[in-house]
Amino acid sequence: MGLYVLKRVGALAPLLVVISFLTFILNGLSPMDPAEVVLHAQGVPSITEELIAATRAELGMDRPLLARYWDWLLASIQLDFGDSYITGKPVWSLLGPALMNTLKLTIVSSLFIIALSIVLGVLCALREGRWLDLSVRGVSFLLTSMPAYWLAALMVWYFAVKLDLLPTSGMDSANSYVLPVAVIVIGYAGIYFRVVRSSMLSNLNEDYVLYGRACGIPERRLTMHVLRNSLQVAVSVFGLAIPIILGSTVVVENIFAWPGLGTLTVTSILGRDFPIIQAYVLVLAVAFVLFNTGSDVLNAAMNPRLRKEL
Amino acid sequence: MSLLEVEHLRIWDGGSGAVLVPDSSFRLSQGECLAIVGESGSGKSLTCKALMRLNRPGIRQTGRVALNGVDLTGLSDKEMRPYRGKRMCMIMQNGMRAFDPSRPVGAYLLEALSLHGDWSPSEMVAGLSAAMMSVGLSDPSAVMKRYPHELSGGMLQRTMIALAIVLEPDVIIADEPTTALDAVTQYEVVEQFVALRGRIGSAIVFVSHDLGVVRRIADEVLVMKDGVIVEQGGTDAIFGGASHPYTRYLVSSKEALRSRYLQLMGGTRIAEG
Repeated sequence: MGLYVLKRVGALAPLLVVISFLTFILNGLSPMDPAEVVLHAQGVPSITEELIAATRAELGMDRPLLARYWDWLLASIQLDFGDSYITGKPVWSLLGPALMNTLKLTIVSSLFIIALSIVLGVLCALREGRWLDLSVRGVSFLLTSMPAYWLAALMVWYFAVKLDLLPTSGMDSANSYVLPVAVIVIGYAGIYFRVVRSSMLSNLNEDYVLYGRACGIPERRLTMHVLRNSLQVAVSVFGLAIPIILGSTVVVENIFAWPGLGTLTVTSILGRDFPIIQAYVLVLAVAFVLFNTGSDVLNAAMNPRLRKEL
Repeated sequence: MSLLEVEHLRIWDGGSGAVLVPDSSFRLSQGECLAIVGESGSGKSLTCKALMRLNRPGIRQTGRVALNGVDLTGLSDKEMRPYRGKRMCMIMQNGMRAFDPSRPVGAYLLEALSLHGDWSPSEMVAGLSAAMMSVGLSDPSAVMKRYPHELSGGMLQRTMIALAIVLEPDVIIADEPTTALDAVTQYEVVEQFVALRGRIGSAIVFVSHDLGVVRRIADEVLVMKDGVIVEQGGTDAIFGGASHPYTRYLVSSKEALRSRYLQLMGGTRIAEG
């Protein structure tokens, strides 16, 4: 097991290099010249060729690509992503707090999604075809089909405006979490509980359950064994779900004015603020890779058949 | 009184209403080995599972299944549980799939044993080890530490037999226990079953479509076709002079294959000369 973890972590290094390089050259593909963006942002009235050349030199754009990548990589590892083109502040001073806010939202939502998916998935699998299973699947289908922005608007209208129970927006107290988390959980739990349910069902039909029953093992204990085997599939899915949620809170954050990554990125994309976009993409890509490796390791801990591979 | 009495067992699909086994009756005496033969889909497996009430929920059954005079069909699930494993033990077709893939085989065996007796852990390990040695697993502690995917189908099949030996049930139900094995392992496992009959007094219900194996092991044979028992009788009677055309067809096709096989292997000359 220790060797497996070591191998997986070792395989991360080349992957992260490739990802960071792709992130770095991605901005070079944009039709906008960064020097022009900076000059526009500074409000320079007439942009001349000399001025652009001077700004390019100032930004270090005249140096070879690999040299620039190397410097950027070294700085990025120390969370120094340069300065924002628009505000001139260090990128991390903007991205760091936003990332923390989004992480808070993501972690709270993910915990609810995972707990709800497991509970509903197991209950539905054990009552397959009965009214509980049918009604949970029906309701979740209905809720998952609703677009997040519409569901969010409905909930704000009802809980915040009509009943005046919860704040409409912002991030001031624990109450502020309720609506954004609810919208995210409703959107994802309906998808992920199906993974747990179908995995449980396929395991319940396995011979080992029949043999366990034939050996007189009580149903409750059998269910626990089945759950353990079923969660192996679910763990990989959940492992990827967390970064997906991290990257897809844009809509929810904008509706609830949550001072997170989603709000920051939308502003940055509209302002062509390359350093922030670059840092955002890098952070998210690294999150994907890390969570994927984490779930693989967790999976190997649960599934002895996986440990021998690789 | 017979050990196991099955009367008017009827099995049907609760969803579609299709009758799978219309009306089966048979009995099994102490220490006897009853083979159920028939082609795939003839209801052998359903009948076996019905004895322990192990068919999946959609499959319904009526009729009487009595073990030592106690009608099992009338018991609650809770009352039924001690019968499973301790009084009636099942040996599955595919050993590779019969054990929880995420746990070492030993953990599984000890869990099953701990439910059925007042053994201390060391007594259980000692009992299991002795039983595993007796079925040809020479290193029981190594087998118990392994996960199912690290063992062969034959080894897992023997492990199930070893568990049955420790539990000493009244009836062992073996549902095609040799089908998933290669020829050599098959032979060895059949030998274990033959030895098992000598060792413990359990009666055996042996489901198979391999008539060679059946002839070697069974006292009584029950022939099923499309859910119906078309013939039943002593092994010699069935193989010697079956009355039902389907049985004669089964036996003759077996003989035809056998003579063709001997011919190919040059065995006829040996037999003749």
